[in-house]
Amino acid sequence: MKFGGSSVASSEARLTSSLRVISAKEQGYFPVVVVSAIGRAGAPYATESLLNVLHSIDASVSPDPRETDLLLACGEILSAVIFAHTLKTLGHPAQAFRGEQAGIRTDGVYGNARIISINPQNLVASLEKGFIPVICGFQGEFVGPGLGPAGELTTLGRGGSDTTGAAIGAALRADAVEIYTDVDGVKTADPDYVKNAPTLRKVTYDEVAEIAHLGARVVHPRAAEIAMRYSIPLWVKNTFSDDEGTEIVPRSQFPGRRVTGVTHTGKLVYLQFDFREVDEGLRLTIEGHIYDTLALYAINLFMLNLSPTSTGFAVPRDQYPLVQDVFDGLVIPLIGESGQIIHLFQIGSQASKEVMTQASFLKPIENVKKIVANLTEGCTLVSLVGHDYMQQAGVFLAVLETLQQTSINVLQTSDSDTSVSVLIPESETHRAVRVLHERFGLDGAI
Amino acid sequence: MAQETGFEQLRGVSQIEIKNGYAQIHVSRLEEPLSQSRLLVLRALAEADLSLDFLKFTPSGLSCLISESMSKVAEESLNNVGVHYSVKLNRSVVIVFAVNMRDEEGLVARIVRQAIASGARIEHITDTHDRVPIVVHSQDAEMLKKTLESFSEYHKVNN
Repeated sequence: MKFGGSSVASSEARLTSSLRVISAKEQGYFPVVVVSAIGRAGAPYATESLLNVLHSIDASVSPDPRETDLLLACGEILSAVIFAHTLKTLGHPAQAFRGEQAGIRTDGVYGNARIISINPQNLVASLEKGFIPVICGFQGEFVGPGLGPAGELTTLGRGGSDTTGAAIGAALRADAVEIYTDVDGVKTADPDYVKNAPTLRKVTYDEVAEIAHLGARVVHPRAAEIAMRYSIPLWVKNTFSDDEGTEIVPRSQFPGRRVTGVTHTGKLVYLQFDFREVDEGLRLTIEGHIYDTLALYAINLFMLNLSPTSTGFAVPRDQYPLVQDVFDGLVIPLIGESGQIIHLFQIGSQASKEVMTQASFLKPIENVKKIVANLTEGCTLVSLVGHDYMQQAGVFLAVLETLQQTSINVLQTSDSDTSVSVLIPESETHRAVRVLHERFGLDGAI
Repeated sequence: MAQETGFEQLRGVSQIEIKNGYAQIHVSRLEEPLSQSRLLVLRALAEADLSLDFLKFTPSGLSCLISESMSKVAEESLNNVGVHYSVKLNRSVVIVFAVNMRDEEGLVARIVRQAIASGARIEHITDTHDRVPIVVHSQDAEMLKKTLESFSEYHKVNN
């Protein structure tokens, strides 16, 4: 049973969560608990709050990843100890475990470690003694050459507590893994956008992973992946309601053609580099440089679009200033068939001071070619996710027709086996989600 | 119950597959307003019961992938609506699997970089939660697969 930040945020929430654990025990199960840090962003022990303590010392100095991990892990340690003590006060002895005490070994990447193995012997011993183990989510230990016998604490990155929950469930061959949150389960759309969006009673691991990938992070895909590999039923339930929740199962247990939901990602910026000015022989080299640079700065890409005359992609808005900083005014000299050619990059239709300065310096050189990236700020990705549905004739037509009838401008499209996505102006997100939800009959989905 | 259990797949690329038998349609020089003209084309293709993959808007039209066996049907329906188009046969999709790739920042860019560097004639690239499908000329598919298998972040997973 994994309890997210909101389920352990207050003494009342912890009491409600604890009663769910006790109820499972009274039904004859041997519950094992995984907890997130107390509260979400803004709460004193939430991950972001702890990180702010370091940044507040001197924002210009980046904290060491090793020290950052040690600090961040404190949030879950506090949470596990308090949760275990809450259970004890209710008459059910419990033991808190840090990640390494629970036997979680990682690959040693600070801030984004992956679980490589779990040896659950301490947890089994604790259960055999009648305790309820309460494990810190989001952390594990790396034991490698040159390190002390205690190993190194590493955190698991995004979705770390969900991942801990699924992995512990797999290691213990659990009957099920239940992820408790403050919503009733996986919804057909964000309830902030579609007020009465139904809760899906059953979805496949693939569907939930795609839904998470495209914006609705109810369960992290890493947790779904582990549950899928070990065939462990995964549930998403609401700590604060008696709704039965959503069961996540393999494809074989839930076949059929259906639309699962409509999702939307966060804020994106779309860039389309125009290569029409570029010598054919140099296009691939320049394109290669662009993607090398994006990889170097670890930029996340969405909506990739490569064509003979351009290359385009969307980046998260928070990464856009870095992209702009790197590319706007960048000069790449290359030797082409006609000798040396200087390529000057410009982001957006208006030349910035950097581009104008570079252009004036390059004026004496004859062979200068500008590569302009058309810029569309304020975009978002709205996606229709489905199961054995997207390959049907007319799905694209239905999506685009619905949006056009509502006068929503579609900038670009993208699709996969399980989804059809459209890039639209961010201001239209609410309307797009609502009309697609209605058009594909999701109001009555179960 | 207390034995050690292995877990998450290694980060990076875990598997590369080739799917053959596709044709690429390029519709261009559509009349303004483009959005209306694109719908006209999509309606014609839908009425011909054609399943489309990798739909992309281009500056003057759209492109998409269909099953090669349906290329004649596509041509017929596009002729009926009277648009300018081309159908390129012998297209394959090379699918690069990378579990949880969105949390490995820069991984998608590194895969694309590697694909471009291979020299394969790339028609289109897209992404889902665990894979990057790349549309290429069928003659280049094996070569692209081999190049990507030599990628430093390729760790074959047998499962």
